[in-house]
Amino acid sequence: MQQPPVSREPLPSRRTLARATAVVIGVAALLAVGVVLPAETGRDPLGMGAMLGLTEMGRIKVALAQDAAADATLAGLPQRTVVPAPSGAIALSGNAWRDSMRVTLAPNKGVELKLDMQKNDTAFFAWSTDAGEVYFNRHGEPPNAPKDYAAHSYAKGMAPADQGEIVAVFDGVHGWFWRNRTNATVTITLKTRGTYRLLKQM
Amino acid sequence: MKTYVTAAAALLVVASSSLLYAATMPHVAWDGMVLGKAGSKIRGLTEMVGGKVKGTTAVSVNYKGDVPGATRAWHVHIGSCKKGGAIFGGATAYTRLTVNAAGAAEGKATLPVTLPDSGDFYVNVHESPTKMGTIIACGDLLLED
Repeated sequence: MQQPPVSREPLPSRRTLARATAVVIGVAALLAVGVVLPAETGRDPLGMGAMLGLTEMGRIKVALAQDAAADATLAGLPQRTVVPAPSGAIALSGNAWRDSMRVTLAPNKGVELKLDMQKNDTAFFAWSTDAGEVYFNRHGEPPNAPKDYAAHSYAKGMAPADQGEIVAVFDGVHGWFWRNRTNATVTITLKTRGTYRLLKQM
Repeated sequence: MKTYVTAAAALLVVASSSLLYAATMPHVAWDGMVLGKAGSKIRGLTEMVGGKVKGTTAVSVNYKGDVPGATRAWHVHIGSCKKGGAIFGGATAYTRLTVNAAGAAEGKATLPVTLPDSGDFYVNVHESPTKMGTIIACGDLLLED
């Protein structure tokens, strides 16, 4: 019995395959050095991380890892000295906190720290300043919200400290915007624990 | 073959960059503190954010320390408390403030303009709807960036 003729396209040459492989490896290397490295370590040899806002994220990750390592070291000590918080402030000591961040704001400057959460996740928090009241706005936004999105507001006002919980009303980032409305530099310390993926500076 | 590989690589770079940019792009909001002038003890907060309807801007002011029972006019203006400027979004969008018995007042307005992401803006509170020339409180709005 005679076989029907089979139509076959010519296979790519070795040279073409080598070129294609080289291009793919080049793109992968570019993404690794330009995107992954700054996002994970804060190092940005190509400058792409700064352009995409990833270098800051990487630096925060490294700082968080160092902070967690320091907490773990303290937890292993036989005795631990807990310095009582000043009167009126919130006690931020203790092993129960998962993450902490400290930000220093010049007069009129603001900062936004957010927790990456899924709907109904619950995060507990406590923050305080070292120098009086700051403006705060606790709010949340869904992923990839447009720039003019009206954020969901949990609370806002002027306070030297606050504590409580955030129950995420939707998947997205939920957290705080603070602005220093004083004439002096203010340092804010935030501690968080609960169900969330990551604490990050926006 | 070469063209396909190059196009795929370029697409991959563009797509990943766009996704990362979108994921890290902050939203736009303005906040300010309203403080009394010329003896007024007003102290409060003001905010300007995107409205619920696309292409609109929501503004609000709330403060304490005013005279109970007073009626005030307020607006967001283009410019700063120091330099002054035109009303932002049209005067008719703003309703009057009524100060309650505790000396507090709160106002909200939806402006038929897109939320700006640059520029200078401020909020002022006028002595009364008939004494618009007298400003009793003012606050510059700052972009939350």
